Amino acid sequence: MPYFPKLPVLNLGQQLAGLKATYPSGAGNISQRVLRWSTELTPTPLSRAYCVEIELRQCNRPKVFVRTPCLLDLANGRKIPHLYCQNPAELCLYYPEFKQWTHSHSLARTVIPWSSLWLYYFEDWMIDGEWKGGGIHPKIS
Amino acid sequence: MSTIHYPKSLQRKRYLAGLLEIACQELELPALKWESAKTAYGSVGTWLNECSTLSQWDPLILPQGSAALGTTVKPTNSENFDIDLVCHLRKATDASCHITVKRLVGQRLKEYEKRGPKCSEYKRCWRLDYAVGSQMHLDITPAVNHTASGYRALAVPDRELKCWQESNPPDYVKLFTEVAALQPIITSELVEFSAKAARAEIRPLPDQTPIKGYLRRTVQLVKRHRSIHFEKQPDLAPISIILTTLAMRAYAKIVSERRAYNNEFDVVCDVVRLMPDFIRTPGQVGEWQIMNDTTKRENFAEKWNKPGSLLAASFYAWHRAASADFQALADAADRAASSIIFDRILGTRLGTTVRAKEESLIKEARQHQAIAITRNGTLNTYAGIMVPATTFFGV
Repeated sequence: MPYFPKLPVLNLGQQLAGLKATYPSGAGNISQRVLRWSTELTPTPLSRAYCVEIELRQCNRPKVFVRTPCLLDLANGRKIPHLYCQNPAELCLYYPEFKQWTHSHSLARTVIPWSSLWLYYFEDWMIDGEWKGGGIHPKIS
Repeated sequence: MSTIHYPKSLQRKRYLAGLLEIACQELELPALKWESAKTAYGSVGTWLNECSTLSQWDPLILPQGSAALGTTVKPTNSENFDIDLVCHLRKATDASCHITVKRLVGQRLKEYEKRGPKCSEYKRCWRLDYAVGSQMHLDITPAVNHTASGYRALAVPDRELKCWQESNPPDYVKLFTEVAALQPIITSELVEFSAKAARAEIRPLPDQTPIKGYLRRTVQLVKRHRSIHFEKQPDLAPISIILTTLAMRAYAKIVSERRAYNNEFDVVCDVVRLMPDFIRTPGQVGEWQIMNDTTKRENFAEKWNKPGSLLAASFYAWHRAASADFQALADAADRAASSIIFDRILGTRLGTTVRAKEESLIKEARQHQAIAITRNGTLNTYAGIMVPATTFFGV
């Protein structure tokens, strides 16, 4: 059996420190065991600035919301792909079964970059209705 | 430009310049095609020289127009490039009858059909159509020496085919090439930005090479915008030589006035904006002049002066639209808004191609795990926080 060392779990304080160090223009805190972090993302120089908020509880997956602008308004009634929830828009950034994110992964180095990439493909989708970013849609029975 | 948003708008304009460069690369005659066109017209030249009648006039085939200037634009309605050529009969003068000269060249070109290309007659020229896949046809206009001008000008049949008209394709190409080689002043910010990009510290997507020659790219872009703008009324479209000449003079002006720019997009916009300044209206109202600097009397805007002509008005209407579209590109709120304007400038088909190229740069960077974001969350390659592989999930 190959041996994979188990990476240490990062606690909320370590995650917050990582975010602060990597994105100095963002802001956030930990309150009642919930980490909240807001930052602006501009996927390309032609893009809007999106205000993204991350919410993390120690025992849960990170939740990423786009607070402004309202994606639903931008989509003008069309159903936006790759969202857990349309309103508020909660982004589906990774496939949980592939374990692309665990509590050992830094939010600053995974979830935030993925959010920018997601927003890039969202903008592309706005232009021609096609999601070019790939991914998996769960089968709904 | 607002100083408050300066760094953001600089990045934005550099990115726009990159997308326009991608568009121009799509529009231009590929180098390999140009090489095969040169071989093709070289052998047509030999064929004409082997004709006992024509050889006494010493024919030489010279490129003219956009292929010679490096400003080709793929036509909107076909995949074929027009390669404009003159067949200069170096020992003939405008004392010869232009109809006879054109017929004699045509007769010989008709015989060339056995070598492959189909030859057909057009008003001022003969067209050789090559096989499907070659993506080109050669338009050959006969020309003789213009004696009255007193210098080495040529004479070509005029547009109405009534007489010889003074023209000077070789000197026009020379003048344009000289102006295109001039460089505007680029401020240290752009130099520094480019140097950083070269060192891979900042590589914004599209990960592009800088605009290849401001004047040539601007000419391509205005010609394309013109073709899209007048798609339904091609008869009202300003001719390419007018756009080329006005852009050339505007470019010469920004260089001679030592205007300084911190991005390439502003150079293009400034040249477009200044184009009408070089239309002269001497004498009576409604008389327009855009003179060919390499001849004594050729007025490219001659048709504008015909009674009832709408050409001058349609040029100005087009110019307002073009200036507004380039400005709007700089001001668009997001990529969706930018893409609508891109489509107005380039046409939907090319606009879609440019977006696909931009997207393929991101895709490629993802595949090579070379995609990163800056501290303000802007995607780029190799600089900043790497974006790990992910599989977007969700309904």
